[in-house]
Amino acid sequence: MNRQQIALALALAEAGVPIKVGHFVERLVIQKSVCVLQFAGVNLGYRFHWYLHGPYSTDLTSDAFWLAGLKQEVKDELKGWRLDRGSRERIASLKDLFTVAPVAQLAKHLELLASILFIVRTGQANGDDYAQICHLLQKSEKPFTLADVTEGAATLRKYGISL
Amino acid sequence: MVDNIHGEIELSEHEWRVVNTATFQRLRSLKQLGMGHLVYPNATHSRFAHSLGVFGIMRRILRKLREQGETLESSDEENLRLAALLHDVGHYPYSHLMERVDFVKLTEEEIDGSGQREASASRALYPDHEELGRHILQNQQDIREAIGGAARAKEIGALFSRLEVADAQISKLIHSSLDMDRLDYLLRDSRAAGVPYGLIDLNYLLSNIRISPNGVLGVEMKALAAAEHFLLARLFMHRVVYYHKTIFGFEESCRQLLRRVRDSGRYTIAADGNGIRELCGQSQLSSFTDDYVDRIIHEAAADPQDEVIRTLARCITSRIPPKLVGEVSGLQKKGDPVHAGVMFQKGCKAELAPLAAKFGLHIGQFLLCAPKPIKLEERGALLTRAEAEKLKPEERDELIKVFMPGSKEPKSIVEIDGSVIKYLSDYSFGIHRLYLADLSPDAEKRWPEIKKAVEKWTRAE
Repeated sequence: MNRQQIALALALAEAGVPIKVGHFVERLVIQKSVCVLQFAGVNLGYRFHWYLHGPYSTDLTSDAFWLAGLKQEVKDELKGWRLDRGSRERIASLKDLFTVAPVAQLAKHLELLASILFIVRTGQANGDDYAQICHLLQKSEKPFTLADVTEGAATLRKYGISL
Repeated sequence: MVDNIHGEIELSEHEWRVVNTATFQRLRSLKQLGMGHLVYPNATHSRFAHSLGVFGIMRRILRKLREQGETLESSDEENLRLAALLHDVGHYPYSHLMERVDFVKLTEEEIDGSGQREASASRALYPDHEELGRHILQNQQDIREAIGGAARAKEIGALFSRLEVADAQISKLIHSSLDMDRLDYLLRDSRAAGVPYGLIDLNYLLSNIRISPNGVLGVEMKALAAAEHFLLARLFMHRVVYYHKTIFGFEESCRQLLRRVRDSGRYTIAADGNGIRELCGQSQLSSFTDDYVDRIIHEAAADPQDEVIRTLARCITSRIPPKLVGEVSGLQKKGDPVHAGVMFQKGCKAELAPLAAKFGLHIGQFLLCAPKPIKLEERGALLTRAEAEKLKPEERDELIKVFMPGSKEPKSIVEIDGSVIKYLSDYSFGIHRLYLADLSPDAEKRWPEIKKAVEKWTRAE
């Protein structure tokens, strides 16, 4: 395992996000969780692009499948490794974001948050221009309303993730 | 201008202005193949030439699509050409050696029982070259003005980084399954190295592309063999050039050296991503070339404190490659955790510390590496064929697509029954290596015993 994969496995464990890839929504949860974590200052180094349905990292999919396939190997490799204290504390403060159940709802929730962050942080809309953010999301065939975006932005600010 | 791979490449006046900026000219001083020239003497071609090559391919693709009746706004076409030209403007010295320094694992970190190890996710990572490219376009006045101002520079950066939400289909032309980057570098690297393995049939591929009604780029069925060859060429170029045992040994030495010197705090090297951004946003950008790393290596060769830093640096300055002590390589079934490479890594981790102690070597002189497995189809996931078939459209965007007879939308190459890629896509080519950087007078004397020890425990059941 390289250091990036180690940090990924540790960060997802801290956040309580299982490394499951069998279903699309499970993969979506991993994708959007990592995206949110990175924008929140947990630097895992995955490059996200805007795909048809939102921010996505091909390298992350690759690593997630690989980690999911290893199981016991992962536990052995991770022995003696831990995430730095600052990152652990940051993830702990965000943990509630990743615990909405059921998983389909969690996936949609994280997709909204990750998409808002991506649009704002890449300079495609201002952080308080919810109408523009909503317009861009709908142009990408994402079913999020202005109310969803407003609530999403408030959630991000509540957790100290700046827009 | 005339290029040795593509022939004549025409640029507009505007594009010439961009090329003639100091910021773009920096790419002349970045070797495309990192340390490849240490084995293939003519592999000194530059990122500059490669960038123009990708630009030339983009022009050809746009012309082909126009002939097929695809209409793009002229501004969109201009942006696509500029994005192709500038896609590597943020490249680091020595290819990807420095870019990934945050993810380099030192040998002592690999070894079992070496104490508590920390994976830091708090440090500002070195940005990837696309992000750095966007930063440069915004902060280097010459290129920003040549492009046409800050807003346009931002647009171009978003295009080659695939950030644009509004025009996802446009940027797909840069990041499509027919990867323009790869189309150029396979040919260019092959010719420069003097090997035939990357000589793809570019003309036939480009003659047989089209866009589907849903905006998906694909190749006609009759070009299937050319598409398969394109994917296989990448595999063979990795085996012969990119992962050549000597080139890789030098590059791994450099990777580990850069991580060590950066962590030592005693060298003039950007401490973190903020340092890189600062360097690349100011007038010092012109010094961020291969010379930047060469200077560090030469300084490190005389390091007064750290023997490993000294040794790794001197391997490079003296052109004495680290010796390949052991290797396990071959096709491995994806998702199979228990294969020879994994067993090799386990053996190394368990036995290296006592071996190093026995011969009075520092553990850091051993370089344990497993470069990313070479996948035969998409750039992205290491998936089995069954997994790839389950992917949603957004997840399989980078698979090569082929138009089947009578179908309006192309299929992924991994789904085509007659394609060799369908069957090979269950495998990736993996390499696991152990090198030893040893320049001491006793190196030759102890080498046979070290090699024998490694052979013995890496073959153990």
